[in-house]
Amino acid sequence: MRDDLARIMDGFETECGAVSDEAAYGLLRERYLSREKGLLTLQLKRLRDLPPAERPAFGQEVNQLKAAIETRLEALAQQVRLAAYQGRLEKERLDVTLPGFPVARGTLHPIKQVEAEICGIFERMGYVIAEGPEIETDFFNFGALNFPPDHPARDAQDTFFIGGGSFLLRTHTSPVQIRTMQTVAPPLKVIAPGKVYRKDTPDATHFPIFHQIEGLVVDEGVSLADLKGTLEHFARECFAADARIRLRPSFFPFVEPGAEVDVSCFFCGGSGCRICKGSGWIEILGAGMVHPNVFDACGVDSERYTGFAFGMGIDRVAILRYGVPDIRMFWENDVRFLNQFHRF
Amino acid sequence: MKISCNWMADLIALDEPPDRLAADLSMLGLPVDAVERLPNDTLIEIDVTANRPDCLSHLGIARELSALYHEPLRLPAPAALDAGRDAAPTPAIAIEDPDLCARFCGVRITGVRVAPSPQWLQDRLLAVGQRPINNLVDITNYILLELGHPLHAYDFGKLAGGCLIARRARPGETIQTLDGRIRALTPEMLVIADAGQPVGIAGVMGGAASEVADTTTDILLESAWFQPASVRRTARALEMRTEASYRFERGADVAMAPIALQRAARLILELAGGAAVSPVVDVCPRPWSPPAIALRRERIGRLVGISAAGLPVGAMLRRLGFEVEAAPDGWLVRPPAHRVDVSLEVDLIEEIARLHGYDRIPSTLPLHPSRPVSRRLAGEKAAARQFLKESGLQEILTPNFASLPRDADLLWAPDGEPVRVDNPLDEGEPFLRQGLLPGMVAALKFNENNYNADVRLFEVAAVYGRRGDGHVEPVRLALGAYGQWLPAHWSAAGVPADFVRLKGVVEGLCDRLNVPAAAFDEAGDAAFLQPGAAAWIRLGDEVVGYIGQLNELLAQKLKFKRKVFVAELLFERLAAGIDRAFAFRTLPRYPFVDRDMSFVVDIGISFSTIKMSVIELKMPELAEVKLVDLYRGADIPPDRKAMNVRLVFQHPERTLTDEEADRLRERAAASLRKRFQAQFR
Repeated sequence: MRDDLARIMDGFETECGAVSDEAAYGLLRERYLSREKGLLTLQLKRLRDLPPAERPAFGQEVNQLKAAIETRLEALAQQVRLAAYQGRLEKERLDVTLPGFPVARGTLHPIKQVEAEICGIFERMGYVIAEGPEIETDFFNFGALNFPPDHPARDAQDTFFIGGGSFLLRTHTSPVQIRTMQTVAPPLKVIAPGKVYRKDTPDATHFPIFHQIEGLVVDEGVSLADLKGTLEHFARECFAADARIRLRPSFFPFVEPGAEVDVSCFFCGGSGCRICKGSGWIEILGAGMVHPNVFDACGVDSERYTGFAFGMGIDRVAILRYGVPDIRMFWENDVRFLNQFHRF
Repeated sequence: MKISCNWMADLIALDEPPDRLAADLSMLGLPVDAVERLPNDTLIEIDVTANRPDCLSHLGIARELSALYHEPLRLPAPAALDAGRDAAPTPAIAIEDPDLCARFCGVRITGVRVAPSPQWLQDRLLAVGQRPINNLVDITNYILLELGHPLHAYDFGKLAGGCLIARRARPGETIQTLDGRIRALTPEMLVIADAGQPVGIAGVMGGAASEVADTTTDILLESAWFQPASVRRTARALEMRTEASYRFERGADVAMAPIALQRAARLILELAGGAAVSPVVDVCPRPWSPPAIALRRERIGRLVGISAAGLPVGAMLRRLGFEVEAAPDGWLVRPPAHRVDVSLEVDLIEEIARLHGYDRIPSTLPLHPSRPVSRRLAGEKAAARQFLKESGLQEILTPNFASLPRDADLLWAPDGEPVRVDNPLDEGEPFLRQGLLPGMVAALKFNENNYNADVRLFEVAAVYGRRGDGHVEPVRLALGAYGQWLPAHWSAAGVPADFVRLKGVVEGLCDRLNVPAAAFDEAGDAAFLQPGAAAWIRLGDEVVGYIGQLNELLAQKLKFKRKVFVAELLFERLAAGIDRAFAFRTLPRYPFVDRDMSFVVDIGISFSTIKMSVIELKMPELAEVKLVDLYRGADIPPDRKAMNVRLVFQHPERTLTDEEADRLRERAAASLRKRFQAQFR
């Protein structure tokens, strides 16, 4: 009988060698360990036929054999599973260069992107955003901003009138200065983006609707030097880390002293190129110290408070920055155009 | 304004090359548009701002450079003309309206011979782009360009009564101007008249009747100062813009009137053979006196941000022609007559700053605080735009101008009356838009025309309306799409841009903004939407928007080839439904159980009706009612549809048993059988 056990072990070893998948493994396990007909079970059943004295020793031998087979089967199971896993890997191998499943790509309008970026720069400097209506009165758009009636300064802003001239489409975002100062006392640090309108026939560089952003700071002790420092910081954040700015005296009725503000050309760094027409500078902003007549119109004490204001065209910044050749493209909404501005 | 460097050399001695002059002028507030090199001269083209009429001449630019370079001017002003023995008779000149004409100078010159100007004069004019005409006209143009003061020459023989009067036009008067047109005049307009009728529109243009002709020998030369606003109103009313009106409406130099007149008269005597000259008449009912402006040293420093202690303020201002006297805390300053832009202390401070050099002002970053300013729905608008972008839509910007007839089919729920622009750029689009759909449809069409196959767009923008005496600018949100929402992929079929897809976006938006009450129901009465594929978006009883397929007949009229899907929402009304009282709800501790119901019902019974009828059973364990599948096909009668609806049950305090879940399902099923004759499968 001991020979039988040895034979069983030999046979088991041989059969193990032939197992290559989980099905064969299952059959093998069944053949040796099945409760009813397993070869080892059958050996244990033979205990009854042995004389009682021999039974413990044989039983122990069968159990040892069973343990050995179980251990061997465990190892075999792992081996078979690993082989199966490896087989599956090969079968399931992907072409990882296949295109992934696409996400529908949305975009914000490039002008709104630039607007948000500029607002962000000033918000980080502690400015708050203000808004105002687009249909304005002469008072807010001109009168309170120190444009006298019948003054040629109004020519620069060819105006759309409404209601027989009692209303107009705002020609700049500057009315928001007045509305803000009339309702909120200084100190004030405000940025006001929005649509503005001028009666310009559309061409590559003009559209009757465009976007401006207005800045206003009012407090005790605000100076032209503060304006310069503020815009210098803005230019570095918005255009180039080493951008410089240049203020030139200019005229806007609602500021005095007034200035045009140039930024060092962010294409050539100031050495002169096609974009800056060789000058090294690009005109970006109008600015100046709030005119005392504007303070008077808003009930702000112009002896106690000083302030600065600035304004720029958002469309112009977008055009310069992205090299868009025709302003009308911003209004056509061709998705091939919009798609190019998906980075933000 | 074109400045000839040769001409300027008459007025000031300068060593600086033209490029340097151009750069310095720009930094002085006189931006140079171009420097143009001619064979014998250089032209500097300056874009003079509206506040500096004094710089619209060679003298004006020379004055600025004189102040900058400390170089004295060489003034061309001649000694006064003396009317000799054979003097011409003194002309009669009068001002009837001193408010509109503060000074009127005139001189009569006889024996004039009209002929071409000498070459040097013609060359000067040609260099700056002025066509020579004859010696008289050329001389007045020359003086205009040199001294900046407009002059006008009348043929004395054609003046009735031999006199000139500055007066308002009388009702019904007309004049034929030099350009040949007949102009109707009104009493708001100042004219120059002879004894009978207007012979010129003051400060704008002379009349044809008294025009100097080749045969003219006897002239009356006018040099005056007219009130700027009046000249501007007149010129605008008549739609005329001349070199003269351009200067007078900005403000001429009242002190220059007699000087320019005398210089012109002398040139005429020299170059046009004048034989005799009258005494200069100078009618000046309102003699000009400069304002005295107090300038405080401390204020310069405070406003500009520089130390004014070491600045030679008095000397700087004197270089610009200001009279300056010392005052306890600064100066008392009187501007010269040509500086019509200077009347306040800040104007003087700008003069100091620009002469000092803006580039020498330091940069400082202010640490000023701000009071808060409130803004309506800013966060909600930003959130909506961001959500739509991340959902795969592209933001567009459409023009605000609208045509009522063209857009009538696409207009929904206008707020207030249409706003009409008095002077539209395009007479076909005189209104401000009242809705966003026309712009959205135009953008979709533009894309279809450009062969863009798959398009998903949105816009968040104001529309406009008149309400009573004021206007409203409510914000709307529009969506539009056609083609594939997601194109076919090697791993999956394409997803069409259709009603369901767009509705998912609107639902997602309501979810993102937290508007739980937003509901949809079929819109049978929206003419621009396709019947059966259109829904109102409601908050309770209020319609806050629509979504649907653009009516196919309308889409065909608009020449769309594809099915187009659109939505428009009243953003403020939608935002009113935002649930701002959001609070945390305890997480369920026990698992949910779901039960499906498969049944066939009449095709007209909406999912929302089924869902509501289950909710109305008020089973406390019911957590959700979901549509799992919808089927219409050959094995079902054409007026019926099969639905598979999943009920999700959850008990807050224990795990529901299978039997309990079955009973709950059966309650719901019984109700559907009873109310809708649902046949369960």
